[in-house]
Amino acid sequence: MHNISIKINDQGYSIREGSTILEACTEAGIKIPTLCHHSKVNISGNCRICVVEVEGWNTLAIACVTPIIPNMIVRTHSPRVIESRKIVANLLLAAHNCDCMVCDSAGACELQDLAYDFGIDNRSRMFDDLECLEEIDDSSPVLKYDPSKCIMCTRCVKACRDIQGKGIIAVLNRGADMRVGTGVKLLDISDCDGCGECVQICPTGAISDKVSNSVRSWEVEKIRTSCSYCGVGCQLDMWVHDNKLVKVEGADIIPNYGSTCVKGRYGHTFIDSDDRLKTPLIRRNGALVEATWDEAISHITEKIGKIREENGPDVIAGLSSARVTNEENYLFQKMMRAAVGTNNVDHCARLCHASTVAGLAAAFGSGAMTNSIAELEHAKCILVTGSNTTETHPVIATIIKRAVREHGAKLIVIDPRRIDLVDHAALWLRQKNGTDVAWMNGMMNVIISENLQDEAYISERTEDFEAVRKTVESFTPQMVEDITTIPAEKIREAARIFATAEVSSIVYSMGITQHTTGTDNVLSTANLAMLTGNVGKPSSGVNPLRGQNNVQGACDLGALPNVYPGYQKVADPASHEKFEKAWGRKLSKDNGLTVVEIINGLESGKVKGLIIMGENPMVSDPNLNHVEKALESAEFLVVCDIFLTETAEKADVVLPAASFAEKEGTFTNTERRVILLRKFLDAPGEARPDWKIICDLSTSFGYPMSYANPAEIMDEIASVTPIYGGMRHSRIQEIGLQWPCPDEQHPGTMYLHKGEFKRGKGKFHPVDFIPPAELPDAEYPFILSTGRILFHYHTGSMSRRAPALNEYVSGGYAEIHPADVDRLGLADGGPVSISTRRGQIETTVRSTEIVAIGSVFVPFHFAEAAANRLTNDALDPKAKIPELKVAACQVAQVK
Amino acid sequence: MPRNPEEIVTEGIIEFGTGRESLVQLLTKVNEELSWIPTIAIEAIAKATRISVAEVYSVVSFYSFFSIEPRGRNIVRLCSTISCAMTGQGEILEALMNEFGIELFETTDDGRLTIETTSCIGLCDQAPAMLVNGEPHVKLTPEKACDIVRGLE
Amino acid sequence: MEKKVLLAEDQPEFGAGFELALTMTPADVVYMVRDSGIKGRGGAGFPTGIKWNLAGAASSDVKYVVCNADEGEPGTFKDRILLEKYSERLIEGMAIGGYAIGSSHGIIYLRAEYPYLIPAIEEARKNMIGKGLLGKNIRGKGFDFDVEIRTGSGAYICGEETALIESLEGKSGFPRNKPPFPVNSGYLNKPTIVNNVETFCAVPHIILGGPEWYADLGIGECSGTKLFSISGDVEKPGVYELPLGAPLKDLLELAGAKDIQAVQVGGASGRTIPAADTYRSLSFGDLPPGGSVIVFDSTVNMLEVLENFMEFFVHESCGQCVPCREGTLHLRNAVEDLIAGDICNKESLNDYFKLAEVMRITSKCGLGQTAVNCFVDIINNFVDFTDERISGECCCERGDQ
Ligand SMILES: Cc1cc2nc3c(=O)[nH]c(=O)nc-3n(C[C@H](O)[C@H](O)[C@H](O)COP(=O)(O)O)c2cc1C
Ligand code: SF4
Ligand code: SF4
Ligand code: SF4
Ligand code: SF4
Ligand code: FES
Ligand code: FES
Repeated sequence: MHNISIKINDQGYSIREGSTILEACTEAGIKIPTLCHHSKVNISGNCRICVVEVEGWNTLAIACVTPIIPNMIVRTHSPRVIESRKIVANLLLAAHNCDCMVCDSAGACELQDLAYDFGIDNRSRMFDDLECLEEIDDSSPVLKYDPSKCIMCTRCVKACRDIQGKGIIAVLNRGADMRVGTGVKLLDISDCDGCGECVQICPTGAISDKVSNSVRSWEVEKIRTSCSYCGVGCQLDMWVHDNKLVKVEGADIIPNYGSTCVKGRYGHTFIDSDDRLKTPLIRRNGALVEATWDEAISHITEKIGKIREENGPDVIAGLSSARVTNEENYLFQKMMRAAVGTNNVDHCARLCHASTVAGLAAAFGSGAMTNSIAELEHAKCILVTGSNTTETHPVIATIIKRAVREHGAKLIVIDPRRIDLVDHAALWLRQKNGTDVAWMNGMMNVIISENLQDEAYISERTEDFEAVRKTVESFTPQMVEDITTIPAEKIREAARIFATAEVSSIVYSMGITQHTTGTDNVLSTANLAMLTGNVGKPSSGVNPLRGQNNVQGACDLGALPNVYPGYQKVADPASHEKFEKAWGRKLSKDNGLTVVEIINGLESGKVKGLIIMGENPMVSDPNLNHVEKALESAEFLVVCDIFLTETAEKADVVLPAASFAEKEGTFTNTERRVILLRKFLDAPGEARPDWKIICDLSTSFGYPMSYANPAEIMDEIASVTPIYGGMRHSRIQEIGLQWPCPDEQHPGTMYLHKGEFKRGKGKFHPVDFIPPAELPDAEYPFILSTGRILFHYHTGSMSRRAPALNEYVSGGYAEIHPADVDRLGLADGGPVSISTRRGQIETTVRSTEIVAIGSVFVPFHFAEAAANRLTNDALDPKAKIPELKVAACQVAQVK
Repeated sequence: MPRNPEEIVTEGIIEFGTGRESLVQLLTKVNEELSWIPTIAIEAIAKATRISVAEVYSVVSFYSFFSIEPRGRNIVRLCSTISCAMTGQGEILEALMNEFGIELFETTDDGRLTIETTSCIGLCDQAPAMLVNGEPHVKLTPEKACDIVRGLE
Repeated sequence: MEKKVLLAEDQPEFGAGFELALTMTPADVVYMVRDSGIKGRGGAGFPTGIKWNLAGAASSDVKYVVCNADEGEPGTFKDRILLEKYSERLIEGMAIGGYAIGSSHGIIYLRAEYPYLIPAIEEARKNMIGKGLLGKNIRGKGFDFDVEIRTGSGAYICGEETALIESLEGKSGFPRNKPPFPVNSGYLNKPTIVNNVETFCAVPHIILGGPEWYADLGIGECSGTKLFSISGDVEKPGVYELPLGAPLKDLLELAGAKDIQAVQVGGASGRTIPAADTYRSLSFGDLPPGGSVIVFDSTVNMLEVLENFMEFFVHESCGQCVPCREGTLHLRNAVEDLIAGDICNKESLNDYFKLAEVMRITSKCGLGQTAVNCFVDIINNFVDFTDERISGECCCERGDQ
């Protein structure tokens, strides 16, 4: 593309060929009014406000759609142009319910701005007002549509269809009756999930937040921060007024470019919940009673000190958190290691991605997403397995859908449930739960037997391929069909698509990791990717989607029992020595205990004191009945949280923490991007940021810690953590940086293993199929799997305190196939009892073909119907991750 | 007995396929056979073509021959454009509404008849004109129009 | 006077033009069409040869030939007559188009109001297949061509070629932004020519008679003959074929128009002229000849005519662009106000005239651009603001202003 010369308002410009007149004017610094135009959606050219005059043309040109041509002479503000724009503005206003005085959008409304710019007051209106359109649709929990304020720019329709890949709303009717809607239904019974993309893109107040901001847009302060929910790490603009969050907007910046999910936009009301913890609590005579910080800290110091003195440091353990900042995770593990003197520090990543860390580190040398979120848009084949991406990583799902819709990618979904992405897939393979190694070996068998592997890549970049070739030899499609129930032909088809696409990317999540064979599963994904040469280049790779906002960071910063920050092994004498020196203390040489081992240890007496920061094992961990007993048998339990969670209720001391809204720091999102958290509210009562609490505790334990702010902590992190070597708060004020980022000049790393694997050569690991630990039998004939849903998060302590989210889903349920519902005499929406060898819950039936016959799915967010009373705590021998995805259960009527 | 809408959709899919460009054809098929397009047909079409339900509605609501309200077995479309308007379309409409006891765009209780007006149907040389179930009738008078409609099943 | 070519009693056998075209190179066929000077018969009058040349030059292995049989302009029914009797000629013309631009897919987009014409078109297709002029490897020339019929569903706007394409693609008929033009990116984003029924029907005659012969059929600058559908206050309404460029009064005479107050040429979106102007010629340079001519005698209240037309546009505007969606409503309301006596002088219409101009120069498609013609013409020429129907019991006298 070269430049061409045009004239705008008598001034010559040289502009890139292919630009529109509007783009040319923008480049020339000339402002042209627009309404329907929005950079994120396809041009509609509907409003006709952006007209300009082009010499020699009979009609006016529409700047946003008309490409420039050489020697074009453009006038942007001629009398004819101004008159046209004024008349168009008048037409819009005549059809508009000009309610600016009470409209939430006033001040942030493009139509209002236009009327203002043209000085069209009520008296100078050219045309009589038309009757306003019908009623408002406010049936959605989060938004409302007022047709009387709609200018039919269709931005919302395109946003929902093209950005979100949903198409919930469309243009209805034609001509003057035109409006936006879902069809005959209102929003509440549509599949609208409240992502709010339409709200954000609407230029007027036609689609707006349902709950009024109750504040004018010019009175608010907007503060950019990172979402506290999932691992996508959406950048959000928080509208704050009077120490209250009044509105959330997606920031138009990497990685979410303005999009969010319903939790990010409408789920942050928990911050303001009445039941936030405001003072420390100490258990006295069986009850938790308010205390001062000094009392609480010295009580903890005394108790922990005593236990340590009597039994040594290794009877004390700490659970750090995937929800607190990098700086806090760093300090927490430092406190456990340097102040307490044990490596017994772990966090809930153990329950989601321990197998990823173990598996990918073995295969590639680094246990994180190899590529970046944005790269997915340009993959030619995306294999999604064990990830209900639409619900768990909603914004990533929109990118996958765009890859399919806009860029022709082939999507292969391999999942026992008929998840939403199946609707967008070229191929859906429904495997029997827990047979993932088999189908992956099957695909590799086909690829090798049809000679579709990337020989050059295998020989240059990898090692030990022969072993894998041997192992997969016996995994013929037919044999795999017998194990997985996936038809042999479909395995072949998937293998061909995956192997022959120009770039293929594997996306997985807990459906792969939460198995007793979790590490094997992960190794298989690595085998498959290396076999086809799909690691170390853009838009390819093995991409584990990390669940919680900072689960990546918690791992990176060493909240794991076997590694220091930056995955530097405890067992490696050099690392050990380095940290002893850096922290100025003797450190334990023994790997610590993992989450499940810590819980088990409480019961066996191996662990006596436990400090939990921001975790809720009483809902999140497998086999809850056991967890409950274990926590009750702890000699001393400290919980630091923002709410009195199910776990905190069992504590001896509860410390009130500041939420993400009330502190600074960084998170690391699933694509290894370190992103900034900014304080936008004051913490309630005496709640304090965890990093301050840790400093106080550690100091009181006799290992002084003091930092002016989290930025200073990051500087220390950078000094001991090579992959974070170049991370500074000052560098990520605008956009985050992806590790590895070894030094302050390094621009960060978009995708890993370019040219060479972290470990040198990529290592193939032969993996044989092993069935899940517990399979259905006559007594427990159903397969149970558990997981997350869009509207709630983790143990619900945040999301269930957001009224809008509860309006979507207010309690637990079990997905059961309609055939099973009938057969067992259950009713959709009625009660059901589900039991396993470990426990029983009562919940509500959701009759749906999403699950296969003979399968049950229970979301784990709901303490009153806690899926984890049912789950199996059998562990993967390598990563110690429990098998949360497969258990045998009974389904029965409630007696 | 009208056929099950889903059955019609299934048949249509065999005939026209599930590509985006089949949508208007599928809708036309259902609309012609049932006189209208019920929600279940819309949902079945949406599912088969992977077009969202709202978008199918969008197309249905754009074209005036489609209806999401039940209509009569017989549809009278009386031209209301100029050549017909000048030659007595108004009286014919009046007469039809009186005779069959319904207003414009309404359906008789027995589901036999719906009366609609439409833009020029290209029979202006023989105005006033109407289409009854797609068949042209021209040079109408109020009596002639009522006779024709009376003779319908 | 009448000059029958397309409607001639005695005309070349169907298929003869295509047979002849097959002996030429595609480029020569395009040049013949170009040299004949034929302009599109659907109303817009774009030179057909240029359109075909562009589509022929576009590189793509798949292209489409689309016949616009959506005839929806009020007062137009010439294509109906052609489809009834000359569908074979139409298909022949499309096949020549396919051969010329390198397309083997023809689609006839037939308006839903003409379902009774389907059998005739299907019959014509069968005949052409019978003659070996449709199908694979036609006449051993390695050229394939076939046509399918698709129908609309009651939307005038689908006559606009890009709306028509959207409709063929299964979507609502919202006109597209141009560029890109259909010759580069049309149906399914492939190069596509869209032509009117009459245009395609004329092409075989051009091939057989030669471009000069065809060009000479017209009067003056104009080339060829043109069909006109005439209705309204005339004795013999119907379709007449005249040399293009003939004076309007010839046609009026043929059809037996008397006591003329106004004549509308080109349908609701065309021009409306008084009797005194009927000397003007039916040509793209003068009165653009869409195909419809409607005659109003002196008994007609032209404001009511205008109301009917504005109602038509309000109902048929697709609604996507603001000037047309909102503008047609306001213009209609203004006419209603005039009829009700709520507006009684021309000055009060100033803003509406400004609006009309903005609609003309900013609307996305021809509908909005031309919907204002009848408003401007009728108000300027046929509304007597001193007439008591206007000022008799008007708002000023009622004192409510
Ligand atoms: C609102 C509108 C309606 C139209 N309706 C028709 C029509 O019914 N038939 C037609 O041939 N062209 C119609 N046209 C013109 C087409 O857009 C297009 O120019 C024509 O089909 C090209 O064929 P031609 O060059 O052979 O005339 C219409 C244009 C507009 C703007
Ligand atoms: S949407 Fe804009 S113009 Fe309309 S009432 Fe609200 S602020 Fe005013
Ligand atoms: S909130 Fe999201 S899903 Fe719902 S209509 Fe808007 S864009 Fe679509
Ligand atoms: S709701 Fe808003 S975004 Fe959607 S069409 Fe109306 S004005 Fe545009
Ligand atoms: S001018 Fe009218 S018909 Fe044409 S695109 Fe605009 S709104 Fe639609
Ligand atoms: S901004 Fe260009 S038409 Fe709307
Ligand atoms: S005006 Fe009625 S058929 Fe043309």
